[in-house]
Amino acid sequence: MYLNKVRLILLISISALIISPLSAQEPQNPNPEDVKYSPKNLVDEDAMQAEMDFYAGNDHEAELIFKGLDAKKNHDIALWSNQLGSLYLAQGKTKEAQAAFMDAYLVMNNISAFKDLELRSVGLTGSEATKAYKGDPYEKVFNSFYVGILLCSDNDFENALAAFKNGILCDSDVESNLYKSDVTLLYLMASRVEALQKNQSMADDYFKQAQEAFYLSYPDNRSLVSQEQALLDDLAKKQKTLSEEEKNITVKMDKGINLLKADISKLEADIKVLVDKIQENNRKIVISSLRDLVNLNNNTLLCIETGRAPFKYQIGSYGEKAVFTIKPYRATGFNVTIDNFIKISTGSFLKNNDIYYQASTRGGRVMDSILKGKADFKKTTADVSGMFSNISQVYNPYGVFSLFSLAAGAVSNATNPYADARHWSLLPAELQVVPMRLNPGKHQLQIDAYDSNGKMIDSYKTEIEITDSPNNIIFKRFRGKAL
Amino acid sequence: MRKIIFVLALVFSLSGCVSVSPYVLSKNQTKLDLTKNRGVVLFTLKIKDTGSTRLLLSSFTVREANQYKVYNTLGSFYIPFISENYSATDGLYFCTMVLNRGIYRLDSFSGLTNSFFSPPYTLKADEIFDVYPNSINYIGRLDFGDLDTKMVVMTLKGKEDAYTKDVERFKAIFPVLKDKEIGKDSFY
Repeated sequence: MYLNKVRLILLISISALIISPLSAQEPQNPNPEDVKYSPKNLVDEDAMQAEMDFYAGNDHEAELIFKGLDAKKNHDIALWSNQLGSLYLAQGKTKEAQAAFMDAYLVMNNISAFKDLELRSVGLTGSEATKAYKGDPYEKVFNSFYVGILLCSDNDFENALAAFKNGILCDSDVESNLYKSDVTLLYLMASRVEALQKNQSMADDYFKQAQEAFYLSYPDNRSLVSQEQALLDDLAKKQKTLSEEEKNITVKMDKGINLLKADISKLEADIKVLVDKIQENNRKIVISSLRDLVNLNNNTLLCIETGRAPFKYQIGSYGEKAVFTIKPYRATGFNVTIDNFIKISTGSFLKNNDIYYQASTRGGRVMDSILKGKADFKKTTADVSGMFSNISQVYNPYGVFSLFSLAAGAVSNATNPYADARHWSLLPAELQVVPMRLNPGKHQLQIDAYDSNGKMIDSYKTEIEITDSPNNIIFKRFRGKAL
Repeated sequence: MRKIIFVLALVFSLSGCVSVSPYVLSKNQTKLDLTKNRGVVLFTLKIKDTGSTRLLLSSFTVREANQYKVYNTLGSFYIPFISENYSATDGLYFCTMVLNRGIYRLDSFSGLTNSFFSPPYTLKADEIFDVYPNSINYIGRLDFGDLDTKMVVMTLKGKEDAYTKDVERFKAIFPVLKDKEIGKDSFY
């Protein structure tokens, strides 16, 4: 009986082995798109095509490329995740956007991630671009903002607040004091979340800081703040020199010291004049849009993203400096209409969340001085190589000077001073936020974009669904091709 | 000896034949191939000559600006000026570029003045622009103001949009553009 069972099992197994290849499906031809955009077939340079596809409105191609690059999980993963996040947000896929921004957030705010690559990049032959992309302070700020606001729309207030606080911390990681903490949106959102969690005193504190940030970054104040920052830097230098000189001299009333003191007094007077002008401007600035955003009666925040991100590129003889520029965007004003009859005036829009201003006022980084040192070294070794080459040609062709020339030339060529130009290029140029009170249910939303002459240049209509959540967040991107 | 003279004559004549740059449009061009992700960018440059001194521009430099490529592998292009580029009546240079899709930096213009001891003269632009595949775009007019003969380098004074006037002239100068749609874009 037992043997019969074993025989039966063996028979079934053998039959299955014989039959299974016959019933197996023929291997299907892989989808050409999957092959083309598979991580192993994509290289970093393909991202330029994806970037241009995004701004041309060809989201499908852009998504395939950025997804493929993201799947590589290499040292640029935070960059690909941020690009993918912006792409999803522009498509209205908020869940996917949140996941992508969160992936980038985890790398950008992890000091030890890819640490070995960072150590290599400060060496003479290492390039800055070989280190992991973790973003400039403004990129960290906006990554934290997007993570926070998308968590907020899920009513995950604790984590949203943590993200906003992280953004505020990143905003303070800049060289110049006056540009620290000037991203109004982060403070406003932190204030709103604190109010939602019934922490009114914290909400009030954040609101005060938001007001300060708004004044600092207000367009009328920007040149005054920039002048004040230059004078403050000069003052700090002179005060340092004065204290050093006062320690070293034996005769206190030295002529040089008196001149330095006179300079310091003049600088202090000039700074006072600028501060008075800024305060005079502040009195004229209307802050009702700030109050609207933290007002919990407004259950809907419409975020209108416009234009193209600040563009970062290398300059200098050896590409050792990275600078920013921006492509002008034609739309300057927007009109919002709800259900074809409620018009929201631009006065209640929270504007001036200018990402180019944030990118270009972040100051010099420690890496910039390292790159300058490398560029100087490259120039010196190139000069030495040239000098030996000239000597060898005149006195000793093929001799020892030629070898020196070759050696110095090789060192010069191996030195890598190029600045890192990687940047989050799918960010918008500006973000305008419109706080609104809408009843739960379906609504028709229309946004019209106008140029500086008041001519309508773009219009967008959609149906939105408002839930009973206190935070309904809607994003709309106007990416445009410029003028 | 005759053979040597013949070879030299052949070399000089052939070098003239191959001097047309693939990166510019020419007056005699009848076809425009914008396949393989190539695009055309048009812009004008204005500089006002002072007195009898005139600036004769010979070329301009364009560099690729691509964050995803290593700096020393970025393309650099020397784009020559040809006679049809210049309109002496209004001091305008009509510049054309045929490049692969991407973002580029217009670096500088090189030339000489017609004075007796003329050192090389540079107009520094440092302007970023886009090249879109299979399209022709006008991106603006660069204004360098009055020619300063005491200097050897001048920087950009301003940019303006002269789409209507300039595009009409481009179509007249370059017949290949005559029936083509020319879009409007801008420098960064």
